[in-house]
Amino acid sequence: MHESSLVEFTLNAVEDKAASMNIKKVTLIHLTCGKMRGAIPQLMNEAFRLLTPARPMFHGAVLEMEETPIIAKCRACNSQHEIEEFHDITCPACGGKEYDIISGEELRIDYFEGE
Amino acid sequence: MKILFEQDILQENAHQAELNKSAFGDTLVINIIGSPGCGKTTLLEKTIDALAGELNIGIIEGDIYTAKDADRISHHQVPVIQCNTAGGCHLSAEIIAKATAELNAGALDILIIENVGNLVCPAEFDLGEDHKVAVLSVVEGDDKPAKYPLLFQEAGMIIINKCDFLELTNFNMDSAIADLRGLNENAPIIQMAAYKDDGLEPWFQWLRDEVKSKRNRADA
Repeated sequence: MHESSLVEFTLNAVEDKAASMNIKKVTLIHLTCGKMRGAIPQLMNEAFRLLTPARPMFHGAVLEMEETPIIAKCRACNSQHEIEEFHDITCPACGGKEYDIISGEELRIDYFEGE
Repeated sequence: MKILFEQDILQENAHQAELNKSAFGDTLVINIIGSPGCGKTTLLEKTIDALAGELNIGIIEGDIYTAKDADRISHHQVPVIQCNTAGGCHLSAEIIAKATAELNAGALDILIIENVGNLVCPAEFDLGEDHKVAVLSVVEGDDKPAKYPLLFQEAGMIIINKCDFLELTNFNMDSAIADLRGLNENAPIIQMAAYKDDGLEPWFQWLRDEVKSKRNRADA
């Protein structure tokens, strides 16, 4: 349900930036959201559909969201592997148990398109 | 026209959280997060009863609707503000800024914020707190850290509550702690049964220590 807040923060930030560049209409917004952040693409789109009618700058705009996987780097052997579930995590290369997360925590507005 | 932006979605919230941090001064600020019914409000009541004699405590209650939690807290003679999010599943830095101004939070030793009951959304939003405290009750199941990793990764303290129910559940403490340690190697983990006044002292001591270290940091 935090998707509606994430979309609202996105619209606020893009609106400010677009206004500062004298852009009247935004046609596309591209986000990158790491899987760690629990933003569900369908719910992000639903929130976008519900929140944009009240904001004329975004009428007809499209939201694109790229999801990035959670990638762990093993502290023992430095190999990288994807984490599907945070249970009994073991490095597939060396069996190490300690790791650092190096990707999957993004919550970023990459770019937008407007006219 | 394509405009490269490369901005964090939550930058506006992060900016307000930084302003909140300044407004908090040397007051220790704790953001308590956990599922509905995990025992957050009971933990607060016990904490107030134990520490209000030695520390100035203020409370911000976050709920979607009603002032039931603030009513409970108000019986304990500490300042409390209820924030209703009217459908929102989490508190934001902006909501806390308004509540903080009313509470005169800078004059407190500890400000405890009880976030909206939810394991997912509140973890995303920095309020300017010193620590997030994750509360997990054993009746929710030992798989919750693995299912909701962000909160347990971000927490500065993890409380496993309702341990008096352990024998009535299939909660595997070793498995839960192993998952928690995989996510968060540093946060203390305290097992307690808050309602039964069992195992609370390490939590109280942690708060006392954190109040001191916040003051020392502010004085330095």
